[in-house]
Amino acid sequence: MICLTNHRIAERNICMALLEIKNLKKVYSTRLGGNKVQALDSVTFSVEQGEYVAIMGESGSGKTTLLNILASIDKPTGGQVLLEGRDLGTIKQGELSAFRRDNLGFVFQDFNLLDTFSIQDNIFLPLVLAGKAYEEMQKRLAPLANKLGIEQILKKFPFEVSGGEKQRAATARALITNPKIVLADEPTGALDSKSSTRLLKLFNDINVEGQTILMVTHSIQAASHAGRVLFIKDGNVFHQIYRGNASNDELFTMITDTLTVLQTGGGKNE
Amino acid sequence: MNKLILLPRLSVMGIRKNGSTYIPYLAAGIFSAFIFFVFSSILNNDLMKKLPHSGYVWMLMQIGQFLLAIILLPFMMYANGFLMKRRKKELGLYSILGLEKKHIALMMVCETLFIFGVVIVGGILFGLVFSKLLFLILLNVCRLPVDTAFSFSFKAVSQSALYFLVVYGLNLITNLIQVFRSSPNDLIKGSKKGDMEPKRLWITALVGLIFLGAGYIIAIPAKIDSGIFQDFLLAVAFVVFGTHQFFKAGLISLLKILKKNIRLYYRESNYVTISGMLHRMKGSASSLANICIFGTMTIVTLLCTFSLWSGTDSMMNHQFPYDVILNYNAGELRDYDSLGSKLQELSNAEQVEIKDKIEFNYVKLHVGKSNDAFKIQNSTYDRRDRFALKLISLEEYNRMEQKQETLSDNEVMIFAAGSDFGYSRVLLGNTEYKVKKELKKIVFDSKAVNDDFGQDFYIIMKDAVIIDTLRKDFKSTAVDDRILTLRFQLTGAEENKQEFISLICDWSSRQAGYNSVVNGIFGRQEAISMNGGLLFLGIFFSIIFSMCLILIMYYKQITEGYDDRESFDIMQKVGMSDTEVRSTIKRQILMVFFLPMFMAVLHTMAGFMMITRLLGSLYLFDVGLIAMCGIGVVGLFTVLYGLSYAMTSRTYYRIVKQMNY
Repeated sequence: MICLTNHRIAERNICMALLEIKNLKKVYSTRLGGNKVQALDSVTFSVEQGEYVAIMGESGSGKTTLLNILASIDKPTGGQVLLEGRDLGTIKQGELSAFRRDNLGFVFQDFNLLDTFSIQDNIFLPLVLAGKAYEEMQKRLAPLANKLGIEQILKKFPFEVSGGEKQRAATARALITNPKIVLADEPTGALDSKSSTRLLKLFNDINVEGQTILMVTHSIQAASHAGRVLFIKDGNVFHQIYRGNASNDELFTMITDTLTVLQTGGGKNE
Repeated sequence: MNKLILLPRLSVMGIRKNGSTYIPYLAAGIFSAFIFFVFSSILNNDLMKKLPHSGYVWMLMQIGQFLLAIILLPFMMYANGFLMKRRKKELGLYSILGLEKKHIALMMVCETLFIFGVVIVGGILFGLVFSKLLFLILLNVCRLPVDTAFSFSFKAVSQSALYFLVVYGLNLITNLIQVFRSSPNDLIKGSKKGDMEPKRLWITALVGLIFLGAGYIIAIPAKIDSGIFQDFLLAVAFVVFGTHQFFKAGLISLLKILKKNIRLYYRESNYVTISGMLHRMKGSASSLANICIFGTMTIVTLLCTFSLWSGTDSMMNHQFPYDVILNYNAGELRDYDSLGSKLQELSNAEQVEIKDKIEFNYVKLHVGKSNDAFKIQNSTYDRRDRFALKLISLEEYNRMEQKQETLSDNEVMIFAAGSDFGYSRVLLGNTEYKVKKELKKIVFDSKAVNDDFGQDFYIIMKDAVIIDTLRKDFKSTAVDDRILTLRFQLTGAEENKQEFISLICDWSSRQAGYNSVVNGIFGRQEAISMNGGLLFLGIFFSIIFSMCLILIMYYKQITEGYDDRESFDIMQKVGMSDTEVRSTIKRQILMVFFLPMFMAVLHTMAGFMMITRLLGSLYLFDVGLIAMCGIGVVGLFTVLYGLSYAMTSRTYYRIVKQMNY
């Protein structure tokens, strides 16, 4: 045990990876334990502080399972997830919510804003849950609302604003806790192209300011904004592309090529 | 598949899929049909008309059935409205999948027929099993002779079927109107929009308060007279309307004030509760108001029932202190001696024993009263002006009470059969007398302290001469109208007593100077059977009201559960722990738990005086007893309410927790 702990500290000092995923495995079994479905086989990768990573893959490739495990909503069958060296598996059930609230920010495809709250109150939600004072919440909201361009709609209710505005409000909710990492699940999935472009631009800006983002997406356009793109197929990391000095358009082409390989050649290789 | 098979199948499937809402609906329907059928069976039984003393019971059952019909209709429509709200999405989906409106209409007809069938068959089956038992219980609480010749009545079946056909028919019509008026898009969407805040909130609040106040003002000082039932109904209508308005405006204002208070609002436990309640304030307010009203109805019904039940003996003793009272006009009575010997003769013949016999003369004056003055009566119609003075000489009083009291010419002793007289002098006509003593207890009549209408006063005066002078002051006629009264109890077999009384009545009525006979045994039986009938009604109506209350509560929790499910799902994703979810739910529930309960108790308190007076008209004057019953019933109700809330809240929690995490 001692050896293992030492090893882990040493590793953290060397790599300084923010998020480490090691040999992650997830097997779903039906209720009676008959059929087993392997969603994740053995996934290993890490995310550095300040990185913008997109994860791509077809439906059923295990993207959502991966994200749910990273979000500590689901538990893996095997392997580890380490956030700043802390194993998510060792966190007690009762503390998980607080852990999520303090360390992770979420942006969902369907926004998940509460109809009962105004936009502003929706954004405050995680802070209220964390027991922050109103003045503190106001102080944090002002610059964020300015940056995301939602100052005008703060008093409105979700049913009164557009999809793009909703998603920017949801982004504000994810960012207001100053999370270590933002997990985005198909953030542009329910948006029109103009709103998508605007949101992706925002994500870029946030990332430039130092926010680590991990995004799961189908959309090549969305992925082409990231610094690194991981491809998942059949529960394994199949390939990854680093942006390097490539522009968004060049990255777009590289992604398209990889996807083509994934869909045609990739299958035959197995 | 054929349309004619598919549509009924879809409707049955729809009911099965929505089991958590339809099963209580069906259960409530079956129970209502059961009660209705029982009432109808009792009413349609020939036995009911034949049994002695059953007149009041029959009348009460009829009123009961009528009230039942009136209460059940809006309640069933309310429940139906709730069901439709839950099923709109499903119907919308069907119409998008290609069912035309006429198909949906046909489906709903099938569904209604199915529900009607289940309810009426279930209700009548239960009715057949239990109606005889319930009939025997009714006879028993009314202490009527138990007769098992209770038979099945087709008329009861057809009456129940007809009534519920009307109820479900009306429901079907409202449902069809809804389906035909809305587009599939409306149906499937389900509004995300919150309730719009009503404009001019303060007007609603004011209207509510005015109606509540008016209801209370009518209820609190209501006097027993011919108008009390109108007053009662008016007060109830005002309070019901006022409660609705008050809950709507009051709740919203309260929530808005809470929301404005930043320190209070932005706290984890209040945040979700307040915004959630504001979001659906109208629905919340109206179900809370309904819960409050049904709560009040349950409390009041139980209160009256328990009071009547536990006060029966005191009512009987006050109303009929003696088994027999024979009154003669003393001046016309020719043959006093034969009266005594006849009583003796008949009692020997019938093997009954005359006990506690008392006889005395009194002069009865019908008078009006104001404070300490008794005056010549103005009108015989106003109950408030109908007092009776019974003047007795000191000699007779001392004889009966075996006392040695003395009085001077201008002194009297006074005994009030109702509430105390309470003055140290009394003005009789134009003459003032000093009240030497107010008697609290006499051997020859009973006293009920809280009886404050149309009551009798016994006034004991020095001698017959003074009484006669006073009599002449009040009446112009010079006839000697002293009344000789004989009062006694009987012991012996029940039928012998009855026989004795009828013989003595028969004989007395042929004597010169006969005035009246009060048959206490018969009177008590009549009163007991009426009380029993009221008791029976009270118990059933308490059950019906509680059923309505529980069902509304349950539906409220379910609706809110489904509304809140998504919210709690999102909040858990954003970082609300399970314990926090639980405590939020608990808080939300507690807040709506106490409001209607508190209002219901307040309504009961406001109605308390009216209740005591209504019970007073049934000769129950023991306010202390009624108050004790009130406390007991409120306690009992709190337990019942708490239990049903705990149960329905569990359903709520289960619905909310049907999520992924």
